[in-house]
Amino acid sequence: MHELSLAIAIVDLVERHASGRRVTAVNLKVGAMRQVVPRSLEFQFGFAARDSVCEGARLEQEPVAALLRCGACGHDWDPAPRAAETTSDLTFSFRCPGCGTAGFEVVRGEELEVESIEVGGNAGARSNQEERCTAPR
Amino acid sequence: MHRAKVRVAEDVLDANATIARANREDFDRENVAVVNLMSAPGAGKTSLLERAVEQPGGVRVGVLEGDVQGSLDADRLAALHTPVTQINTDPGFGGECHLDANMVRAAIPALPLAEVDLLVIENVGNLVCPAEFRVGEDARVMVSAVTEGEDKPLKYPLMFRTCELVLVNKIDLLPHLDFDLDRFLANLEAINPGVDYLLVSARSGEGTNAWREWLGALPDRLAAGARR
Repeated sequence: MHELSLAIAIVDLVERHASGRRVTAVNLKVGAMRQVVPRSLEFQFGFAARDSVCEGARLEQEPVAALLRCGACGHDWDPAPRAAETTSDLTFSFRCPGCGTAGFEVVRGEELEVESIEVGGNAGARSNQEERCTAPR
Repeated sequence: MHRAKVRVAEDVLDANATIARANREDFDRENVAVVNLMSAPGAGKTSLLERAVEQPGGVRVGVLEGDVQGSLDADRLAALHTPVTQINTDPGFGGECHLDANMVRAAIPALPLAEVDLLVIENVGNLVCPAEFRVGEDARVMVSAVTEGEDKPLKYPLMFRTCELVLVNKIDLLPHLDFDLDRFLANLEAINPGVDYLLVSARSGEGTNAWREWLGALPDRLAAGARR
Protein backbone atom coordinates (compact mmCIF):
# COMPACT_ATOMS: atom_id res chain seq x y z
CA MET A 1 0.00 0.00 0.00
CA HIS A 2 2.94 2.41 0.38
CA GLU A 3 3.41 2.30 -3.40
CA LEU A 4 1.07 5.28 -3.84
CA SER A 5 3.19 7.38 -1.46
CA LEU A 6 6.32 6.30 -3.33
CA ALA A 7 4.74 6.99 -6.73
CA ILE A 8 3.89 10.55 -5.64
CA ALA A 9 7.48 11.02 -4.43
CA ILE A 10 8.79 9.74 -7.78
CA VAL A 11 6.61 12.17 -9.76
CA ASP A 12 7.70 15.09 -7.51
CA LEU A 13 11.35 14.16 -8.00
CA VAL A 14 11.03 13.78 -11.77
CA GLU A 15 9.22 17.11 -12.10
CA ARG A 16 12.21 18.83 -10.50
CA HIS A 17 14.56 17.28 -13.07
CA ALA A 18 12.37 17.51 -16.18
CA SER A 19 12.40 21.32 -16.43
CA GLY A 20 8.97 21.25 -18.00
CA ARG A 21 9.87 18.77 -20.73
CA ARG A 22 7.49 15.89 -21.30
CA VAL A 23 8.81 12.67 -19.75
CA THR A 24 8.50 9.49 -21.79
CA ALA A 25 10.20 7.08 -19.38
CA VAL A 26 11.42 6.93 -15.78
CA ASN A 27 14.17 4.41 -15.04
CA LEU A 28 14.05 3.27 -11.43
CA LYS A 29 16.29 0.97 -9.38
CA VAL A 30 14.39 -0.97 -6.74
CA GLY A 31 16.25 -2.82 -3.98
CA ALA A 32 14.85 -6.16 -2.88
CA MET A 33 14.58 -4.96 0.72
CA ARG A 34 12.28 -2.03 -0.06
CA GLN A 35 9.13 -4.13 0.06
CA VAL A 36 7.94 -2.63 -3.20
CA VAL A 37 5.42 -4.55 -5.28
CA PRO A 38 6.38 -3.72 -8.90
CA ARG A 39 2.89 -4.06 -10.42
CA SER A 40 1.38 -1.98 -7.64
CA LEU A 41 4.00 0.74 -8.07
CA GLU A 42 3.39 0.82 -11.82
CA PHE A 43 -0.36 1.08 -11.28
CA GLN A 44 -0.05 3.86 -8.69
CA PHE A 45 2.50 5.71 -10.82
CA GLY A 46 -0.20 5.96 -13.52
CA PHE A 47 -2.41 7.78 -11.01
CA ALA A 48 0.29 9.99 -9.56
CA ALA A 49 1.46 11.02 -13.04
CA ARG A 50 -1.88 12.51 -14.10
CA ASP A 51 -1.68 16.19 -15.02
CA SER A 52 2.09 16.17 -14.56
CA VAL A 53 5.06 16.00 -16.95
CA CYS A 54 5.03 12.23 -16.25
CA GLU A 55 1.57 11.64 -17.69
CA GLY A 56 1.79 8.67 -20.04
CA ALA A 57 5.44 7.93 -19.14
CA ARG A 58 6.70 4.36 -18.81
CA LEU A 59 8.06 3.31 -15.42
CA GLU A 60 10.98 0.94 -15.94
CA GLN A 61 11.88 -0.88 -12.73
CA GLU A 62 15.26 -2.57 -12.44
CA PRO A 63 15.32 -4.98 -9.48
CA VAL A 64 18.49 -4.96 -7.35
CA ALA A 65 19.16 -8.13 -5.35
CA ALA A 66 20.11 -7.62 -1.72
CA LEU A 67 23.64 -8.23 -0.44
CA LEU A 68 24.70 -8.05 3.20
CA ARG A 69 28.23 -8.11 4.61
CA CYS A 70 28.89 -9.59 8.05
CA GLY A 71 30.55 -7.11 10.42
CA ALA A 72 32.38 -9.90 12.23
CA CYS A 73 33.67 -12.33 9.58
CA GLY A 74 33.23 -10.35 6.35
CA HIS A 75 31.08 -13.02 4.71
CA ASP A 76 28.68 -11.71 2.03
CA TRP A 77 25.22 -13.12 1.66
CA ASP A 78 21.88 -12.50 -0.04
CA PRO A 79 19.22 -12.46 2.70
CA ALA A 80 16.32 -13.18 0.31
CA PRO A 81 14.23 -16.26 0.98
CA ARG A 82 15.43 -19.32 -0.89
CA ALA A 83 12.93 -21.32 -2.93
CA ALA A 84 10.71 -22.29 -0.05
CA GLU A 85 10.61 -25.89 1.09
CA THR A 86 9.14 -25.03 4.46
CA THR A 87 7.33 -21.90 5.61
CA SER A 88 10.31 -20.86 7.74
CA ASP A 89 12.29 -20.39 4.53
CA LEU A 90 9.90 -17.68 3.42
CA THR A 91 11.65 -15.05 5.48
CA PHE A 92 14.69 -12.88 4.90
CA SER A 93 17.68 -13.97 6.96
CA PHE A 94 19.53 -11.15 8.72
CA ARG A 95 21.94 -13.33 10.67
CA CYS A 96 25.25 -14.28 9.05
CA PRO A 97 24.98 -17.83 7.67
CA GLY A 98 28.76 -18.14 8.15
CA CYS A 99 29.28 -17.22 11.81
CA GLY A 100 25.78 -16.49 13.17
CA THR A 101 26.51 -12.85 14.06
CA ALA A 102 23.72 -10.28 13.76
CA GLY A 103 25.75 -7.17 12.91
CA PHE A 104 25.96 -6.45 9.18
CA GLU A 105 26.21 -3.68 6.66
CA VAL A 106 23.92 -3.45 3.67
CA VAL A 107 26.05 -3.56 0.51
CA ARG A 108 23.00 -3.21 -1.73
CA GLY A 109 19.29 -3.92 -1.79
CA GLU A 110 17.95 -0.75 -0.15
CA GLU A 111 17.95 1.32 -3.33
CA LEU A 112 14.90 3.23 -4.43
CA GLU A 113 16.52 5.52 -6.90
CA VAL A 114 15.49 7.31 -10.07
CA GLU A 115 18.52 6.46 -12.17
CA SER A 116 17.52 8.48 -15.25
CA ILE A 117 14.58 9.92 -17.12
CA GLU A 118 13.88 10.10 -20.82
CA VAL A 119 12.42 13.38 -22.03
CA GLY A 120 11.03 14.46 -25.38
CA GLY A 121 10.38 18.15 -26.01
CA ASN A 122 7.85 20.21 -24.09
CA ALA A 123 4.75 19.44 -26.10
CA GLY A 124 2.50 18.02 -23.41
CA ALA A 125 3.31 19.96 -20.29
CA ARG A 126 4.30 23.48 -19.46
CA SER A 127 6.55 24.37 -16.57
CA ASN A 128 5.87 27.24 -14.20
CA GLN A 129 8.58 29.19 -15.91
CA GLU A 130 6.94 28.86 -19.30
CA GLU A 131 3.65 29.92 -17.80
CA ARG A 132 5.31 33.05 -16.48
CA CYS A 133 6.74 33.75 -19.95
CA THR A 134 3.41 33.69 -21.78
CA ALA A 135 1.92 37.02 -22.76
CA PRO A 136 -0.48 38.55 -20.27
CA ARG A 137 -4.00 37.37 -20.85
CA MET B 1 11.07 16.47 -31.45
CA HIS B 2 14.33 16.37 -29.50
CA ARG B 3 14.63 13.36 -27.24
CA ALA B 4 17.17 13.00 -24.48
CA LYS B 5 18.09 10.80 -21.56
CA VAL B 6 18.74 12.75 -18.37
CA ARG B 7 20.81 11.15 -15.65
CA VAL B 8 19.20 11.72 -12.25
CA ALA B 9 20.67 9.22 -9.71
CA GLU B 10 18.59 10.50 -6.83
CA ASP B 11 16.91 8.55 -4.07
CA VAL B 12 13.13 8.79 -4.32
CA LEU B 13 12.94 9.82 -0.67
CA ASP B 14 15.84 12.31 -0.77
CA ALA B 15 13.50 15.30 -0.49
CA ASN B 16 11.93 13.77 2.60
CA ALA B 17 15.34 12.94 4.09
CA THR B 18 16.52 16.53 3.63
CA ILE B 19 13.49 17.92 5.46
CA ALA B 20 13.85 15.25 8.17
CA ARG B 21 17.43 16.43 8.76
CA ALA B 22 16.22 20.02 9.10
CA ASN B 23 13.63 18.87 11.66
CA ARG B 24 16.31 16.98 13.53
CA GLU B 25 18.50 20.10 13.69
CA ASP B 26 15.60 22.10 15.12
CA PHE B 27 14.96 19.43 17.76
CA ASP B 28 18.67 19.18 18.63
CA ARG B 29 18.94 22.96 19.00
CA GLU B 30 16.17 22.83 21.60
CA ASN B 31 17.68 19.74 23.25
CA VAL B 32 14.60 17.63 22.61
CA ALA B 33 14.87 13.87 22.10
CA VAL B 34 12.34 12.60 19.56
CA VAL B 35 10.62 9.23 19.29
CA ASN B 36 8.61 8.10 16.26
CA LEU B 37 5.95 5.74 17.64
CA MET B 38 4.38 3.47 15.03
CA SER B 39 2.01 0.51 14.83
CA ALA B 40 -1.03 -0.90 13.08
CA PRO B 41 -4.33 0.82 13.94
CA GLY B 42 -5.62 -0.23 17.36
CA ALA B 43 -2.39 -1.83 18.60
CA GLY B 44 -2.34 0.49 21.63
CA LYS B 45 -0.01 3.42 20.87
CA THR B 46 -2.14 6.01 22.68
CA SER B 47 -2.93 3.70 25.63
CA LEU B 48 0.77 2.95 26.09
CA LEU B 49 1.55 6.66 25.94
CA GLU B 50 -1.06 7.29 28.65
CA ARG B 51 1.00 4.88 30.76
CA ALA B 52 4.32 6.60 30.06
CA VAL B 53 3.94 10.36 29.61
CA GLU B 54 3.99 11.09 33.34
CA GLN B 55 7.66 10.68 34.23
CA PRO B 56 8.65 10.40 37.89
CA GLY B 57 12.21 11.47 37.05
CA GLY B 58 11.06 14.90 35.89
CA VAL B 59 11.60 14.31 32.18
CA ARG B 60 9.02 16.51 30.46
CA VAL B 61 7.21 14.67 27.65
CA GLY B 62 5.27 16.28 24.83
CA VAL B 63 3.27 14.52 22.14
CA LEU B 64 2.68 15.24 18.48
CA GLU B 65 -0.43 13.34 17.40
CA GLY B 66 -0.75 12.33 13.77
CA ASP B 67 -4.17 11.19 12.69
CA VAL B 68 -6.04 11.02 9.43
CA GLN B 69 -8.89 12.90 11.11
CA GLY B 70 -10.07 14.24 14.44
CA SER B 71 -8.41 14.77 17.81
CA LEU B 72 -9.70 11.80 19.85
CA ASP B 73 -6.20 10.62 20.81
CA ALA B 74 -4.93 14.13 21.52
CA ASP B 75 -7.90 14.76 23.83
CA ARG B 76 -7.09 11.60 25.84
CA LEU B 77 -3.47 12.68 26.36
CA ALA B 78 -4.32 16.32 27.07
CA ALA B 79 -6.43 15.06 29.97
CA LEU B 80 -3.14 13.90 31.55
CA HIS B 81 -1.81 17.50 31.46
CA THR B 82 0.65 16.61 28.72
CA PRO B 83 1.36 19.18 25.99
CA VAL B 84 -0.22 17.72 22.87
CA THR B 85 -0.17 19.08 19.34
CA GLN B 86 -2.45 17.58 16.72
CA ILE B 87 -1.79 17.24 13.02
CA ASN B 88 -4.37 15.80 10.69
CA THR B 89 -3.23 14.41 7.39
CA ASP B 90 -6.54 14.78 5.55
CA PRO B 91 -5.68 17.91 3.52
CA GLY B 92 -3.13 15.71 1.72
CA PHE B 93 -3.82 13.12 -0.94
CA GLY B 94 -7.25 12.16 0.37
CA GLY B 95 -5.92 11.70 3.91
CA GLU B 96 -2.34 10.47 4.05
CA CYS B 97 -1.73 7.13 5.72
CA HIS B 98 1.51 8.23 7.38
CA LEU B 99 3.37 11.29 8.60
CA ASP B 100 6.21 12.56 6.47
CA ALA B 101 8.97 15.00 7.32
CA ASN B 102 7.14 17.91 5.72
CA MET B 103 4.00 17.44 7.82
CA VAL B 104 6.11 17.39 10.99
CA ARG B 105 8.03 20.44 9.72
CA ALA B 106 4.76 22.34 9.36
CA ALA B 107 3.86 21.48 12.95
CA ILE B 108 7.17 22.57 14.52
CA PRO B 109 6.15 26.23 15.11
CA ALA B 110 3.19 24.95 17.14
CA LEU B 111 5.31 22.62 19.30
CA PRO B 112 6.30 23.78 22.81
CA LEU B 113 9.90 22.60 22.31
CA ALA B 114 11.29 24.83 25.07
CA GLU B 115 8.97 23.15 27.59
CA VAL B 116 9.74 19.50 26.85
CA ASP B 117 12.77 17.19 27.00
CA LEU B 118 11.21 14.44 24.95
CA LEU B 119 8.77 14.57 22.07
CA VAL B 120 6.83 11.48 21.07
CA ILE B 121 5.44 11.63 17.55
CA GLU B 122 2.51 9.24 17.40
CA ASN B 123 2.33 8.26 13.77
CA VAL B 124 -0.78 7.30 11.81
CA GLY B 125 -1.77 3.69 12.48
CA ASN B 126 -0.25 1.72 9.59
CA LEU B 127 2.43 -0.98 9.40
CA VAL B 128 3.76 -0.08 5.96
CA CYS B 129 4.06 3.56 4.87
CA PRO B 130 5.36 5.13 8.12
CA ALA B 131 8.41 2.85 7.91
CA GLU B 132 9.48 4.61 4.70
CA PHE B 133 9.35 8.19 5.90
CA ARG B 134 11.81 9.48 8.51
CA VAL B 135 10.47 12.59 10.21
CA GLY B 136 13.57 13.73 12.13
CA GLU B 137 13.37 11.26 15.02
CA ASP B 138 16.21 9.96 17.21
CA ALA B 139 14.58 6.61 17.89
CA ARG B 140 11.83 4.48 16.40
CA VAL B 141 9.51 2.45 18.58
CA MET B 142 6.75 0.20 17.35
CA VAL B 143 3.86 -1.51 19.06
CA SER B 144 2.81 -4.98 17.97
CA ALA B 145 -0.23 -6.38 19.79
CA VAL B 146 -0.49 -10.12 20.36
CA THR B 147 -3.95 -10.01 18.76
CA GLU B 148 -2.26 -9.26 15.44
CA GLY B 149 -0.67 -12.72 15.26
CA GLU B 150 2.90 -13.98 15.45
CA ASP B 151 3.60 -13.71 11.71
CA LYS B 152 3.63 -9.90 11.52
CA PRO B 153 7.45 -9.42 11.58
CA LEU B 154 7.64 -11.66 8.50
CA LYS B 155 4.84 -9.83 6.71
CA TYR B 156 6.02 -6.29 7.49
CA PRO B 157 9.82 -6.62 7.64
CA LEU B 158 10.48 -3.00 6.68
CA MET B 159 8.70 -1.73 9.79
CA PHE B 160 10.13 -4.34 12.15
CA ARG B 161 13.65 -3.84 10.78
CA THR B 162 13.80 -0.08 11.29
CA CYS B 163 12.80 0.16 14.97
CA GLU B 164 14.97 0.11 18.08
CA LEU B 165 12.28 -1.09 20.47
CA VAL B 166 9.25 -3.31 19.99
CA LEU B 167 6.45 -3.11 22.54
CA VAL B 168 4.57 -6.42 22.51
CA ASN B 169 1.21 -5.21 23.80
CA LYS B 170 -2.03 -6.79 25.11
CA ILE B 171 -0.22 -9.66 26.86
CA ASP B 172 -3.11 -9.79 29.35
CA LEU B 173 -5.02 -11.49 26.50
CA LEU B 174 -2.47 -14.29 25.99
CA PRO B 175 -4.49 -16.91 27.96
CA HIS B 176 -7.39 -16.40 25.55
CA LEU B 177 -5.44 -16.52 22.28
CA ASP B 178 -3.60 -19.07 20.18
CA PHE B 179 -0.74 -16.56 19.89
CA ASP B 180 2.64 -18.35 20.13
CA LEU B 181 4.93 -15.86 21.87
CA ASP B 182 8.11 -17.91 21.30
CA ARG B 183 7.33 -18.08 17.60
CA PHE B 184 6.71 -14.32 17.46
CA LEU B 185 10.02 -13.61 19.17
CA ALA B 186 11.84 -16.01 16.82
CA ASN B 187 10.27 -14.21 13.83
CA LEU B 188 11.27 -10.85 15.30
CA GLU B 189 14.83 -12.11 15.88
CA ALA B 190 15.03 -13.30 12.26
CA ILE B 191 14.05 -9.87 10.90
CA ASN B 192 15.81 -7.61 13.42
CA PRO B 193 18.44 -9.64 15.33
CA GLY B 194 19.08 -8.41 18.85
CA VAL B 195 16.33 -5.75 18.81
CA ASP B 196 15.04 -4.73 22.27
CA TYR B 197 11.49 -5.70 23.12
CA LEU B 198 9.22 -5.35 26.13
CA LEU B 199 6.16 -7.46 26.98
CA VAL B 200 3.47 -5.06 28.10
CA SER B 201 -0.23 -4.62 28.73
CA ALA B 202 -1.55 -1.09 28.56
CA ARG B 203 -4.78 -2.42 30.09
CA SER B 204 -3.40 -4.16 33.18
CA GLY B 205 -0.26 -2.04 33.43
CA GLU B 206 2.01 -5.10 33.36
CA GLY B 207 5.43 -4.25 31.97
CA THR B 208 4.58 -0.59 31.50
CA ASN B 209 7.04 0.56 34.20
CA ALA B 210 9.88 -0.74 32.03
CA TRP B 211 8.42 1.12 29.03
CA ARG B 212 8.09 4.34 31.04
CA GLU B 213 11.70 3.96 32.20
CA TRP B 214 12.99 3.23 28.67
CA LEU B 215 11.29 6.40 27.42
CA GLY B 216 12.39 8.55 30.37
CA ALA B 217 16.02 7.43 30.01
CA LEU B 218 16.19 8.22 26.28
CA PRO B 219 17.34 11.88 26.53
CA ASP B 220 20.26 10.86 28.78
CA ARG B 221 21.12 7.90 26.55
CA LEU B 222 21.23 10.12 23.49
CA ALA B 223 23.29 12.77 25.28
CA ALA B 224 25.78 10.08 26.39
CA GLY B 225 25.95 8.75 22.82
CA ALA B 226 26.61 12.25 21.43
CA ARG B 227 29.44 12.85 23.93
CA ARG B 228 31.17 9.60 23.01
